[in-house]
Amino acid sequence: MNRYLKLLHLEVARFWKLYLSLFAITLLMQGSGIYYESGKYVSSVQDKMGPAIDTYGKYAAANGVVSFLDILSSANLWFLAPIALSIGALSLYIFFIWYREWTGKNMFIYRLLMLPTERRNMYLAKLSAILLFVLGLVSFQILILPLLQSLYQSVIDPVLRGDAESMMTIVQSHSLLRILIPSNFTEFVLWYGGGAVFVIVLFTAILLERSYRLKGIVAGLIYIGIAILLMAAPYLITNRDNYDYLYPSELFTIEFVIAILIGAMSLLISFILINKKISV
Amino acid sequence: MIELKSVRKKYGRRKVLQDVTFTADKGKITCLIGINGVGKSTVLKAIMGLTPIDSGSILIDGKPVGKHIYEHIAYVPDNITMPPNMSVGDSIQFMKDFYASWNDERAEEMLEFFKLKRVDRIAELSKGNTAKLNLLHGVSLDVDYVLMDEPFSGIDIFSREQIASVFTSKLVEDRGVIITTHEINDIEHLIDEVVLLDNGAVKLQFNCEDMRMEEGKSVMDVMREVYHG
Amino acid sequence: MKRYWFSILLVVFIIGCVSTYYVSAAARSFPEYKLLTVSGDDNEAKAVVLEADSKKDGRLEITAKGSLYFQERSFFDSFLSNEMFKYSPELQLMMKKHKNFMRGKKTYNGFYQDGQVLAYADVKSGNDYNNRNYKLNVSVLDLKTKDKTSFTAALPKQELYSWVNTADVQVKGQTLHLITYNMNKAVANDPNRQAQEIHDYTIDLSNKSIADDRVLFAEERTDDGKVISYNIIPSSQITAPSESLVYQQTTLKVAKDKDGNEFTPSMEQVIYTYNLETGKSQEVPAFKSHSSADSAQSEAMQVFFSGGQIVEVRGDEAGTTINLYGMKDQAIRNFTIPTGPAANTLVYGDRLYMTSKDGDAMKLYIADLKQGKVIYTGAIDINEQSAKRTELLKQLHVYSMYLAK
Repeated sequence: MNRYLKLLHLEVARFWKLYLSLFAITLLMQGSGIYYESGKYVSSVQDKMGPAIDTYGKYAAANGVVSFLDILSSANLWFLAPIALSIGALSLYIFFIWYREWTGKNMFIYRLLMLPTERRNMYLAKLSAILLFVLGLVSFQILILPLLQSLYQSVIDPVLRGDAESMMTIVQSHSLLRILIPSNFTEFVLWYGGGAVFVIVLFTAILLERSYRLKGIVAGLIYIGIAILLMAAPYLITNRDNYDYLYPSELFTIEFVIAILIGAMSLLISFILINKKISV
Repeated sequence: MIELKSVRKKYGRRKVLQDVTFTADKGKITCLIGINGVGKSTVLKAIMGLTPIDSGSILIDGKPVGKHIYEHIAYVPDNITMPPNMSVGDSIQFMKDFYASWNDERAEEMLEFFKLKRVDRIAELSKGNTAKLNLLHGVSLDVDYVLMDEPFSGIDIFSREQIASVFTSKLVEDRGVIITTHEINDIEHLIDEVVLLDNGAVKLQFNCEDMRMEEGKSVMDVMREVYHG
Repeated sequence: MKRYWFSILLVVFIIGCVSTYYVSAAARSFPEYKLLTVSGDDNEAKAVVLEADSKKDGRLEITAKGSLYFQERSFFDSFLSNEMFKYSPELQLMMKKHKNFMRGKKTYNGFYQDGQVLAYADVKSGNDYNNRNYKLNVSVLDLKTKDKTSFTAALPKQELYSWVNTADVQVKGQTLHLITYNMNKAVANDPNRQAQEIHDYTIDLSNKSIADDRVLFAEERTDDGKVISYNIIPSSQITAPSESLVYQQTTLKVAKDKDGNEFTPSMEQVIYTYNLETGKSQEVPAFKSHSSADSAQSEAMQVFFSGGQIVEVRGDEAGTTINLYGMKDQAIRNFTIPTGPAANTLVYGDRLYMTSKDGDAMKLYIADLKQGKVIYTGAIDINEQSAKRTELLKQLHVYSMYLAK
């Protein structure tokens, strides 16, 4: 097996306990949120039932049925908190995945830099690890949505429920899921590809700091600023003040090319830094 | 042969290395001597490509520093370079995974000699055992050169003896060794060549044997002359 | 390999979940609504796109070919060039021919085209309410010489207006008329006065400057409690040249009830034409309408201006009457469509498109304004049977339509 994959596995293995606990927290919080809100709905229906409305059927006829999306929105806090936690944890991990190699007495960075392989493999392993962690959490959310839906179905009587929505309808009707899981695969690739470019830019800034320390922090911040400025350039130059000089398709093409260039340039700079400038 | 020619390095305004030039041969133990903070560790890191140099050149058997040297030259820093939550066994597995030059038999031998347990976590090892494992990681590689940074500092007397015995064993035979120290006493009997460093510059390079035979001076005597004379 | 099970599992897990999701997303099917011809020539309805909302699956567009749901649209569909100027067939055509000229120009009403020139004028503004910095942007493309003239000019008396919207552009020789709605902020807070003005900015193209700024009509409130307001009825072919503007004058009688709350006991609407050159208005007497609060439910009425004709559509359950007024010959004709009321009406060129609910089904009628009769009837149908079909048709809400060329 080649050393890049071994390094990638090393990164995964070093995070897996924390990572699985994110899975567990997500499942637990979202599950209990749905369970609690479903139960609350059923008891609120029971409270409202009286002599006139003595069956679920009559209640549903009079007040309408509830949908999974309704319960999902009342359990919004339960639902969003673990997602926010995961996003926060992974955002921090983008930095920690580098800085922990320099921390403590036992600086692992010595060993990593002395491995008889291209140093970019270490870089790519860290980058791939971050992307894997993000996609893994998204996949986990995709996996547990149907489970959450069956949980809701098991608590709420079928008479009180509307037709079961498809997964896609649920995802696209939810303000955050819609962003995490775009409606088609092309968008998914573009969206997470953009995310990868963002991580690459942050990595470059981190390596600048690791190579030039104090001066590197300034350089890193300037680098991030330049990247943002470049991405915003088409808007600032041609499409400012509602004066859309570029057509949307042209704007997309230009942004796409700029993102690719920023990504490629950042990788190049990172590889040079990690080969020639980085210091333990 | 490890060759350093006019190696210079600055940290900010501070000149850490100024024109460091010396050579270390295969089959000899070369000792970099100097008080703390004169750039001994920096020299080793520079040889290993762990810190960039500003000018000068470093050649290992005629080749510049690059990924290919890591199968030919091992570095034993003053601290172990494995994540603390790894076990001794895991760290050996890690080395085996990544280095083609890893010699598993030798590692087993040393593990036994040092009486290290595979299941122990690195974080829980004593200082002496940590140093031993660190040495094991470096010496179990079938490499031509081994660089060691202060292998004896802060270690109890028994560990010291065990470590010192490694130097006289077949484990370092035929290899080129560069070792740094600020206390020459412990290892004077082990070393062949001495490079005296002061303020990031090489003051003197000499052969111990020759020095003793021709001028009748110990390393300590020469140091006194150089640093205080 | 055994040591790597966790990493391998993670990768397999990601590929499994993501591909399952997107494969099933691509494979799912939606109810296929379709516009079917009941009578007449299929070609008449080829360009018609009905915008609808299905309760379960969200927004969709229905054509004679079938339906396209918003959920199905790919990422790239959302910014294909025909998404721009989607609601105007002529601007779509113009877009194909003069892509570069159309850059940065988004106001439908700002375009003008005749045999000689293609023109665009619009008023752009900043976001600062106290200093809008209104700039008149004018671009003219000579279709023969391909010369493009562009210039901007500061709008005169701009501190007076809280917003300015373009209503129409007409070009005659070297004169460009830009008709705008201006909201006069000086009087906007005065309850006794009305603020909207309709301006005619006369622009001298050879001098690249604003030659004249005339207020054609301004909303007013008379002492006897009438509120008179105006609005321009734009040509269905937005870019088409026209010597006259068509506008509607609405007079509301405002009275106070015994509690002091205002109400409007009656309303009068009159259609006028306004000749840009002579500056004279002429009433179209046939289209005068009067309604009062105590009269029975008034008929729904819509007025269009298309190809030199003013088209008035009014109707109820009993039927829809189309009144036509030729601006050249001043002749009045009419015909009826025996259904109503119209849900959506659209006039383009010499065609009138009207949707109307017939039981559960939505029907589309296309009338030829020249011949004065319905030449096409179609209905939205779905490839389902019995109860499910009824249910799906019932759930469909058609809220708009447009023509795609």
